[in-house]
Amino acid sequence: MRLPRLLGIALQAIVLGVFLFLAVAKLVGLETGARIFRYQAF
Amino acid sequence: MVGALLVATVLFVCCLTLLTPDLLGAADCGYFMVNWRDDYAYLTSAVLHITRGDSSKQMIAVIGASASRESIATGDYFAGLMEEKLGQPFNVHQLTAGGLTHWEAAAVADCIAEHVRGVVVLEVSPGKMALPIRMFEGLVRQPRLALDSKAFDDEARLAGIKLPRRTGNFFLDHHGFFSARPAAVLNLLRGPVVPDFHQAETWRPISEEEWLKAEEALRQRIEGYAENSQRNFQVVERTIAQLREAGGIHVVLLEAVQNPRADQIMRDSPESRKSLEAYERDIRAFVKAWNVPYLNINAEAQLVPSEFIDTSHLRDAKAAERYTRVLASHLASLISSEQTDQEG
Repeated sequence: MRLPRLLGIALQAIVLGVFLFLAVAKLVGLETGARIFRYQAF
Repeated sequence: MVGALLVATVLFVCCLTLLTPDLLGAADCGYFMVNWRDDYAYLTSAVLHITRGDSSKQMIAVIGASASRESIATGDYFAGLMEEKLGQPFNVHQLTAGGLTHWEAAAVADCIAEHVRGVVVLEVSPGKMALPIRMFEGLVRQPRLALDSKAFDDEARLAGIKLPRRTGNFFLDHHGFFSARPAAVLNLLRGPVVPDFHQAETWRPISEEEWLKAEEALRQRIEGYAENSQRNFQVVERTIAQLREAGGIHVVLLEAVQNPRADQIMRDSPESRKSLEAYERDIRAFVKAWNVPYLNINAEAQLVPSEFIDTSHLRDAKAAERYTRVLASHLASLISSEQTDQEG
């Protein structure tokens, strides 16, 4: 029972950690006005 | 919670240590592109890729904006034409991105100068030479390319623009480039994006109603010409000088493609015509002073309005092939005459 529980916690930490990292990246991007340039057709 | 923070910290440290110019140059450019239209991620990777390569093979690098991107059929087709005409293999690099300015072109040229041998084609246009300094300020504050370029920084200093603080870490110094593309992380799962140089095929053509209002929009593009052109031509001068200094590079100026209908509209407007004529005089004087070949092949390529989707982008594949053939023919003549001069 211990191993599946540990695996679950690790998986949860990885998923949440990835989301946290991406959310902070997105926030930094929004804060600094970073955006992907798109050519505005005429 | 502690685990999630730890994972996020590890990811951050991985970015700090792994996202380097070497990685961007070595990996497929598609891994850093959010989608197939992500020009600036493509261009960053393409430039960094060149900086990692050797310069033994003759190369043609076209540095320009979307008008040039859409006008070249394909890099392979271009390379094939050059090989056919000159009997030696060529690498063709399309270093193009929508709205690429001459300041960014200076950065691209600076990065590749020591790594290429062959021809560097620099796109010029009246619109580009009319760009105001506030546009450059914006590009210094929020660069679209993740390139460390001394030439770009020097241009900013000359223009009196304060440079952002640099840490020396590629990821931190270009955090804007990466933080604008968090979705690119999904490319690790779904594979690299395949860039496409013919984006205009998917655009909406200009309606007749919009054409009627085109004069105003076209005039706005060059209204700053008198005020800004001298400063902008000086940037091109320094870019040419730097490329020549690196050795083994022939610089060619290429007039950007323009829809003949848009050209006519501008010539019919007294205000626009004045700026256009000033540009034509200036570019003639510039190429003479700098002894640099200048190609304006729009008429020779016999481009007609129906082959364009708007004022400056080709949508017709046959027209792009025709344009590429004319361009290749001129470049081949230039290269063979240079080779003859050197042998003589």
